Amino acid sequence: MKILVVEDDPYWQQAIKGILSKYPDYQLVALCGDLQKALRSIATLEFDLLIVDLGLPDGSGIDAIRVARQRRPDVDILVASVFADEGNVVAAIFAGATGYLLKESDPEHWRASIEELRAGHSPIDPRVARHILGTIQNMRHSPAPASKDVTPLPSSLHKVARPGDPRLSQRELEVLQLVAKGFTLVEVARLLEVSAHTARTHAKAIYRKLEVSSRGEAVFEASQIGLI
Amino acid sequence: MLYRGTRPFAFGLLIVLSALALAAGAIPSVAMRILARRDLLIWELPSARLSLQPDGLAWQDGTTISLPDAWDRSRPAFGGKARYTFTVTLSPAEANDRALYIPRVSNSCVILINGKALSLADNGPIPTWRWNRPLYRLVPADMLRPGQNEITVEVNGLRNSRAGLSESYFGPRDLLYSAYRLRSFFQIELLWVANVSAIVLAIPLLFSWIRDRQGSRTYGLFGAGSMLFGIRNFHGFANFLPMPVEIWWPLVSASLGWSLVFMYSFLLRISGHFWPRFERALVVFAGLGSILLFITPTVRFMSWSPWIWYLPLLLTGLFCVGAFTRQAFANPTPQSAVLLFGILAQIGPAVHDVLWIAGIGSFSSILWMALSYPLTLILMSVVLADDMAKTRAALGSMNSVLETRVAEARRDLEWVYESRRAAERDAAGMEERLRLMRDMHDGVGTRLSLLLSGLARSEISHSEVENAVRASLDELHLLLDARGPGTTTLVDALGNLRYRLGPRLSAIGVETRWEFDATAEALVLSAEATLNVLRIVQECISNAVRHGQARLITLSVASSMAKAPERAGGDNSMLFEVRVADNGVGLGNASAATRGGGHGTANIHARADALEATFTLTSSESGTVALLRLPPSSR
Repeated sequence: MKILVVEDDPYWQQAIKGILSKYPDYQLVALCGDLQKALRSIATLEFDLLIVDLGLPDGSGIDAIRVARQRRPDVDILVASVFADEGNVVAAIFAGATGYLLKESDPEHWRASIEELRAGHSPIDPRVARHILGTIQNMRHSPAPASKDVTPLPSSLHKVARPGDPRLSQRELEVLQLVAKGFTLVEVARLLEVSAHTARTHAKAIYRKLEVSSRGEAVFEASQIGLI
Repeated sequence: MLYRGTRPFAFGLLIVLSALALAAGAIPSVAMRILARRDLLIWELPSARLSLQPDGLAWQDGTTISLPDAWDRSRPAFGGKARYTFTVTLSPAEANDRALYIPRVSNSCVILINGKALSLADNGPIPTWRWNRPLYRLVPADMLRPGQNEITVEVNGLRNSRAGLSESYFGPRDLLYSAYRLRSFFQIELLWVANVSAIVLAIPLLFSWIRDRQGSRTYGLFGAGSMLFGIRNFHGFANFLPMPVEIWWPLVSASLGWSLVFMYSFLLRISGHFWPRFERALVVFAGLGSILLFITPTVRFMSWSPWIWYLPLLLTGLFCVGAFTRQAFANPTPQSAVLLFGILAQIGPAVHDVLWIAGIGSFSSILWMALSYPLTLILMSVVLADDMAKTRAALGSMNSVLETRVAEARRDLEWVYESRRAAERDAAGMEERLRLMRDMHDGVGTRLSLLLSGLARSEISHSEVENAVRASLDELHLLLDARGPGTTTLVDALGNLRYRLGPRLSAIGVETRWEFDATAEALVLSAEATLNVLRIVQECISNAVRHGQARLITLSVASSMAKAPERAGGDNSMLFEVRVADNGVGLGNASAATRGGGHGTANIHARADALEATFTLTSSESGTVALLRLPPSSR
């Protein structure tokens, strides 16, 4: 599997390189230290998985995600996040990310997350679920101020691609609400009396709808800045 | 305030208007010349034979005199009747066109034509009192005869009452009538108009004074003076004595003085001279003068009043006009120029009238100040209207300025409010950060310090380092579980913890379950209390795995309307229970290898105390239940 990594911190560059090198089936095609290099690599290189750090010296990793999603709809995109960064993670999901994990996770966790992603399962935890719910609520009640327990969308997303209402189905909203309360997808499946696979499908669908909802404006914005 | 370019203009205007106003002083003499028409002179009655009848005495034949005959001058202190007899010669044709015109006869009179009384009233009673108004009567042809005719005017006068007879005319009716009409216009119609004008124009001034006692006092003084002046000037119309002369004369004189006192105060104030003592002195003078007028013997009134009353009033008026004039020239404005014109124009008439009252000048002269005063009043109204227009314009602009200021003030207030809110938020954030730092120091910091110390002494193994680092990270995660973004309720925080620990527990074969009821879902604790609950729950889970060898751990939050006799108050308010139940071997059955030293439980109790909660541990062979009961106060 060809992996493209966008990470500016030399320490984490080494750490990620080390983790990936543990697994022979992972091939690191490029390790980009800034957004410009990342955009060039996305445009020129072949890859199956994009691992992105959001805080880059010359811009936001969200732009790289969006461009990658536009050029390569089939690739998986994993956000390497840090503590308490749900706001950016959700913004990345809106831009097209399909998974996320904490950078500090151990190599096994990294591998598990990558494999889950390859298997078509998007992770979703209570914090991210709550943030997605809050964001959707804000969209519906815009321009009402955000409720105090919801981190507003990052400014980059506000500026470039304020997403429309993703119109999640009732069942998808229920999934999100249960996850937000701390239930695992398996428990959610049990509570909703559906299969675990169905629950996972809902999670994946939520991701896709969030991304699609922001795509129209994102395409416009990308064309504006000359990326496509 | 004057703007540039207005001052020289105002100064010029002041000079021109002042000159005009002073020149206007000559108007009375000019007018009198017009009234005393040349074509009348040939019809003036010649010298008269005079008979006198002093009060209560018999008639005495007098001498031949010529008119006018002002008794104050010709026979001071005389009171009674004076009979003036004129002899005129008429042709038969002339007898059909004759009238008698007397510009002034005072105090009352009877007219005899060839010994027969001539009716003096068209209808109604014969006038009993004539002060200063013309008399015109047609003389019926049947009362006259060709040749010599005798016309007798019998004047009845009080002592010292300025009685007398002016020059008189006997001639063609139309000619005399036109002369009479002209005089009558000045002395009656114009006086009416002047008096009514003074009263009407004074009303708005007085009204503004009533509405705004302090701000409109100056105009109010002027209004009061004008009102009084207008009313008292009607006295000239009286064709009867409304009250005994002992009261009537002092009243008429005193009222003039009081109206002038008001106007003098106005003059001083409008020119910026606020002299309370002077104003008080004016009032005292008016008061004392009035008393003096009333106690002056009537027979002396006409001779004394000019000296004790009118002349001081005139001098005081001149002083006030001088003060006003000085100020007007010092600070010339179009308004002050216009007003000065109106005021200076009063000097000539005022001097004339005072001289007339003193008996100097023509016996039949008109009193001019009553006629000229409305000019001042009209000019004053113009200045006042200008002032009002300016005030309204200023108010308009002030309103817009005020609106701007209010908007600015509102913006400032909002800014202050926002700043304060931001400061409060910062303070709350600072407090939160301090707590976080303290928690990190106590938790992660302590662990890392111990780790460093161990590493420095090379006393710890690789696995111990790994465990210590993992524990530190767990500690950090716990902080974020408790108070990370988007975490509001206790269920949110416990959900975070449970979700985070789930995979790890699952990896070692421990299943977790998570339950809460709808009421408990809304429970919000302080960040510090939440962290304490999370630490307790984490410790309980850790105990269940390490000591109880549990394979299933159920974490639940439930609410109940608990009676809480064990807590102060024992009220029936909502209690919340956080429960960690496991299916382990129980506390008593833990092996020596897995049994803890009791530190963990002691820590849990300490944290429960901090929460003012109760913590109970129930253990049996089939498992352990840890129950944390949160009182309402922990919320």
